[in-house]
Amino acid sequence: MSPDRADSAPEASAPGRCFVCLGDQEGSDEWVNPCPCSLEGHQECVMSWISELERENKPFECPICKSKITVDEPFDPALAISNRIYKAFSSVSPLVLCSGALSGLYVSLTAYGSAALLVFAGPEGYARFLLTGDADRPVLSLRYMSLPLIAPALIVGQTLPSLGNFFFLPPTSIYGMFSLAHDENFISWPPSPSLVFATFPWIRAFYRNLWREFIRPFELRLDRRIAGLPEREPQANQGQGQGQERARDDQEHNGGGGVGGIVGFLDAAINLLDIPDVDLNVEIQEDVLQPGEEDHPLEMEMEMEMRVFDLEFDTDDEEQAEAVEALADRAARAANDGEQGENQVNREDDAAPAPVVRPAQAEAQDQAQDQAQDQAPAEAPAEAPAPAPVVAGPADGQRQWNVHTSLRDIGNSLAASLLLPAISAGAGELLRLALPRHMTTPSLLSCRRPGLLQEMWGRSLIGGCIYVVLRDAFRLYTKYRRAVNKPLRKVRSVERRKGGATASSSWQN
Amino acid sequence: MTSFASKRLAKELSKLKNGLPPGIDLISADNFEEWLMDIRVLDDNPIYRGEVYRLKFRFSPQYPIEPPEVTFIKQSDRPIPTHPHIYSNGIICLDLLGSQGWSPVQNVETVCMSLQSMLTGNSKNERPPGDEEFVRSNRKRPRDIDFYYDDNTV
Repeated sequence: MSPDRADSAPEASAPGRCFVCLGDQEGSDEWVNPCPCSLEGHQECVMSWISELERENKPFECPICKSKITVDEPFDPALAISNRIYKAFSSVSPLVLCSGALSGLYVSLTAYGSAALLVFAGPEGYARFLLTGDADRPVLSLRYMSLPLIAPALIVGQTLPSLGNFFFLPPTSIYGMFSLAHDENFISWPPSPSLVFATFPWIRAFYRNLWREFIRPFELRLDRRIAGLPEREPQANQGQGQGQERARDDQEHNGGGGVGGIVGFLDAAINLLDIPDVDLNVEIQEDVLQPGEEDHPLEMEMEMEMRVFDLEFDTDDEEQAEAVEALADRAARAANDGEQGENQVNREDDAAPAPVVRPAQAEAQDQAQDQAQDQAPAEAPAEAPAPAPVVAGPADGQRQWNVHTSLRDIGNSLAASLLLPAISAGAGELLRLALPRHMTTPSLLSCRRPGLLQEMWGRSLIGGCIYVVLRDAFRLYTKYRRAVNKPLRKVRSVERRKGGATASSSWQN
Repeated sequence: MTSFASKRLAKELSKLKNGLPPGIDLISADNFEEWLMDIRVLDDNPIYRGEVYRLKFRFSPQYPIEPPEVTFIKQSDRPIPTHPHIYSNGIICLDLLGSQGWSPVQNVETVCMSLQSMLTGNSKNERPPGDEEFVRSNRKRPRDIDFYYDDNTV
């Protein structure tokens, strides 16, 4: 269309012709050439066009040469000031709004953190945390700055555990080491709040990894069953899948009831920690850190836990998840075999392929698949070789998982995370009521630090941990029941309504 | 009626009566609200060869600040041209005719020439996507429709 537009330029005849009204220029008319090209017209006509552009929020530019058209107006101090203020304020207002919103967020986060701390630790602990100085002249400690961090930490820790580990583990370790260097008695029992603060993320990460290693494969299988997908385990073909799974379920719930359970647990723990790497690292650490003896335990713990953390972080990858599942299955199978006295053999078998967990993060997908396939026949020569669906399976499970994480679930888990301090405090209170009195009240005579259960924060902490474990177990159990019920479900048959009388009589039956 | 639009249209009309580009004819201009024009393509484009199309221009009192409403109208010997930007009810999707593309430098003659070249340059013998649905459901005036002028090839 552009050529036509060029054609449409008004003819530049000797007397000017207004491009709006097409009238000719006459002596008395106020005339204007708004742009360098041929555009010209009556001041009034052009201005009415400009007003239209202004109404439609369009730029003032020449329709032909696209150069900018400037509009002058008589100088008026009020208008000038108003324009200046408008421009300046337009550039500042987003900043004002943002900082307003941020400070609002800060205040509400602080309020939440404060309330959570008060509920969790009780008034005494709350005051001890926030106030320093004499009892007579208390000073607000700088620790109140950390209150707004409580809510984000809870949310991240509960909903994105991997990210939580990423954020929490390094600073708390640094804090732990720092405290260790300054306080000879840092590691002591009963633990101080600082020690708990430094170690709790590790405990949490360890718990989550235990769960992931031992329960998650089972849970994924339950998910598949609930979703009505076919079993992908080879043993299902052997007709005893159900019983075997139930046996495994029992073992997992009991934390390894028999010898076999414990051996399986150890096997999986070794795989979990990726022992070859840990050994190496610990040796190096020992060489370097000979003089600083006291740093030892924590350093070692950290190295080991770092493996855990790596592992967990990497399992976002589907292939990785598959490898972990395979390991966990093997561990569980080792638990079964252990009762037959073959645990030694299994251990050796399992130790070798342990690195599978790690390489998958760097290697191409098909390589990981190859490994997984190589592994399956190696560990169970008697079993049928793993068919292709075994490899494809975890992807399905993962997708299932993602589908389930709907918006509503996100809302639920956010609310649950934020309620966690209150729930913990409630559980701590229940503990206080349930346990004998001497365990929950600090003795006035002893000058030792009160025991963990003798202080409110400690009871809340333990209560919260118990709550989390029970909650996870209950969730798993409901899933299990649902999966068991799944094949037993039937569509309820409703009596056909042939006539009013038969319908009513059938209701009475 | 001596509005702003009338004055301008009177000027345009006198110019049109003095001579028109080939392929464009003035059919009727009895008032300053609605004019009829005929256009045909000048080359041998097989889609439009031998056909003449009738255009209806409706002018608002704000013309030429506001664009005119231009549609093809169907008569026994005046079909609606087949074009990816022309619906079968005669509504034309052309940025020139929307408030985005219109400016007072345009006039009836340039609109006709634009449409002429739009047809000449077209090689697709097809209606816009969703033509049937649009024709069945559209009750809006052309100026109230939000067209997306996304296709610069035709």
